[in-house]
Amino acid sequence: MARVLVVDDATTVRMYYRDVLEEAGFTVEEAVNGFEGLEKAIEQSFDLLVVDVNMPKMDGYAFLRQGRAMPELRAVPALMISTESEPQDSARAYAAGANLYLVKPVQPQTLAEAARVMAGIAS
Amino acid sequence: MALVRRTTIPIPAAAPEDPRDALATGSAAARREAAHRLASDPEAVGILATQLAREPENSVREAILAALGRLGTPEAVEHLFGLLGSEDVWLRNAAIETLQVMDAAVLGALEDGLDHSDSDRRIFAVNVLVSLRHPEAASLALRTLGRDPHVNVCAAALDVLAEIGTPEMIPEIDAAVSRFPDEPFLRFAAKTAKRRIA
Repeated sequence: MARVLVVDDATTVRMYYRDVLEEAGFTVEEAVNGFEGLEKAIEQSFDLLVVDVNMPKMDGYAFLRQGRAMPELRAVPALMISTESEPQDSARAYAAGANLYLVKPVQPQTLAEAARVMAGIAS
Repeated sequence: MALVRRTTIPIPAAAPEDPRDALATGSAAARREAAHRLASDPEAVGILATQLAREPENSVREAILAALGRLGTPEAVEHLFGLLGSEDVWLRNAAIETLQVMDAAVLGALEDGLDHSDSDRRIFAVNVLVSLRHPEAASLALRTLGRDPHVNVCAAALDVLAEIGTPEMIPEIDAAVSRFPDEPFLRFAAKTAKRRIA
């Protein structure tokens, strides 16, 4: 079963993504900020990262930048999801290492489909 | 030959460096120390803010933010709220963390932040509420949920209410969420918040 790491400081958001992604066939691991995300990524392997931008301690951009420098996370597809919808926000996400940028709130079907495609799972 | 008495000229003790100078020109350690010392000087908000804008070291930036937080003057609070509009994500999040522990000092500016024209700024203001140890924090989150037109601001308010809301708020949560019938995430967030506070 494909494994996804959800990195978001909002409890409700993590629970929502867990519901949607487990329904879509993923095993879900959670982290509340970038630091915890990096720690988990060192200990476990993942097929997909779902990452928020604004988080305490380490934000999503820093998480992706540091993650892309680590062998464990260099090639793992990363979906960044944020409330910020300006063109420069997605550009910043891609520059940091995101493979896809979506703006909250994300419809469950959109999240599930994007996650399956990015993790290479047939619908 | 006359004897000349040699006098010892006392060497003055080194005066501690003015923290204002050290903040601008010292080493990183000196700048951190200066920020700590300026945390008790209400007149130092301007110089702290100026240094924060150009400071490259995160550890010094943390010390400056902590100093602004400890000062807690209206000017310091206003500056911290201004940082919520920064393009620097690290600085923005650090400002939120600073404001979260400032309690009642931030309430006035927080209410203005919740009415800001930019929805992202309103979300950041809502995020300050969750750790604010003040009885009005939950009421402000509920008020935001009831009247803000942006779904993401309401979602942030629901996340706050899940942590600090009270059972008597549930009818108002239901009424507020009914304004967004096509947003499954908001329905999920409301259900979660209600389950946690019931």
